[in-house]
Amino acid sequence: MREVFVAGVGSTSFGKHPDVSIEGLAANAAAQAILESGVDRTRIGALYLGNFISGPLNGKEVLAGIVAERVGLPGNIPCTKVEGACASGGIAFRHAWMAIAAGMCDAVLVVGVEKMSHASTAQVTSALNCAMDNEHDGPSGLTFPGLFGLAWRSYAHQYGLTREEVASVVIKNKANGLKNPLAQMGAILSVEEIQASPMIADPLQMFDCCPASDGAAVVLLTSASLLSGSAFPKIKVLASAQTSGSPRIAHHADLCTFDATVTAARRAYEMSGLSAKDINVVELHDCFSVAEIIDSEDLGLIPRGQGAKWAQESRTSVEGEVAINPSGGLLAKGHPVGATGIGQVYEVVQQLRGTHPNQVKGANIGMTHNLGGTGVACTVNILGVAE
Amino acid sequence: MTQASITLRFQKCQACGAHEAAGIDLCPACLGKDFKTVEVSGQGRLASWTTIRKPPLRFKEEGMYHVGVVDLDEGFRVTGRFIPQEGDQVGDVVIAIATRDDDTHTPIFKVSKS
Repeated sequence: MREVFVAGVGSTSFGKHPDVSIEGLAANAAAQAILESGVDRTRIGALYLGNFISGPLNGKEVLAGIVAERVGLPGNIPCTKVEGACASGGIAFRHAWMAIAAGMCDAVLVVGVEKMSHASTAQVTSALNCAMDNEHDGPSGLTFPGLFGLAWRSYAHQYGLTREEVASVVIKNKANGLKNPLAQMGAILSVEEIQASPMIADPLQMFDCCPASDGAAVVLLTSASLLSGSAFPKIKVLASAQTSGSPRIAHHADLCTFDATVTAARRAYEMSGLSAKDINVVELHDCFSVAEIIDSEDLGLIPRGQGAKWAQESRTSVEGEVAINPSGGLLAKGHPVGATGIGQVYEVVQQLRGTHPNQVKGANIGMTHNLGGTGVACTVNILGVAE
Repeated sequence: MTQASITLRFQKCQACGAHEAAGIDLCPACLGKDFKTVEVSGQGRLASWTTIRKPPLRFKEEGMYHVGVVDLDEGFRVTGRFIPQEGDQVGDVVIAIATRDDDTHTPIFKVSKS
């Protein structure tokens, strides 16, 4: 396998973009990544685009080909849209990585994009519910906030979990978001304000849930031969793992863990020769507050049952033992679903370059974790500053 | 007084014995196609529950409702509707008291208070 590097990144802000089309968001972020990389567009051999619900919410498909044309990529290159619910972006990244590692291409553009904020909550909930097993779980009326409401109660029963402990994740990520100019809703929040917010899927309340967002993020991956033009430190992809898990609640014996995350993390550690202790900064899939607690334990960063306590003790802050979601995460930065996995890579690249607005001091190795549906798809990447 | 559970209908693979909910015509365990409808007790243990206050379009008119995950005594897990009562705990014994009168036939569970 060949070594794969990040040659350039680009991103729109995450939030509301009522006047920009979904392809316009993607093209703007793509142009940034291409220009920053110094790579000539004629060298780009493929495009992978992660998107989940452009069909139901925007009435638009074949986005990969549309975006390629918008940014003047060479004609006739393979352009592929991939879908894996909230992990769509991560899956696009891994396929681009494989194409370069295998020697099929020297440069691949990876695009993640979603446009959701124009739709009603019920429309968005219905579109997201396409990622559920609608033969078995959907008929009950379960939703994704509901899935994490179930997980919260199950976690509380197994390990103990207070409203105050979960609030500490929200408070941290919202405060981090305030430092990130790309974030949709950073804030300084108190436990009382979180407790006073409306119930969404008990015990989940409004501030425990990520917002609906518009946004795009883009990464240009290349082989070593195309890196010479870059003024930035070399960022290498040390591991890229993708796994699947059961789409059915019935097959999740433990509601406080996602098998797809556990196995993806294990593969990423094996591939990179690193362990959880080596990771300085993590952007993980906190679609809901309790998800960050579960994810951080599934990734092996924090012992089982300790995720919330670590947040409460500031051990996951920017100055902590392992910085989790310094971008604000999905809770504060926003969750334009298909863009999220690429947005996480964008954030980690800024950290490793030392240019992040909420910088983790001396960050050399970073991880991204992107989880789709009921844990049906997962990607974990490890990136590092190359020697 | 203890309320009795209604029975629930599932499909059982005649080749390998795996239980499946309705709507499956191929057994994921053995790829067999021979299913027989079986009735199970509808009694089990509560794995978790939540209250859906932001429903999808399909259930929007209900406003809010409760969903529960139950481990049936026959050894498999189902997602259904739930009627919460004061003091419910994960692990409590639950019974199915009805199935929804619509095309989903989703079972409705509640904790059995003895």
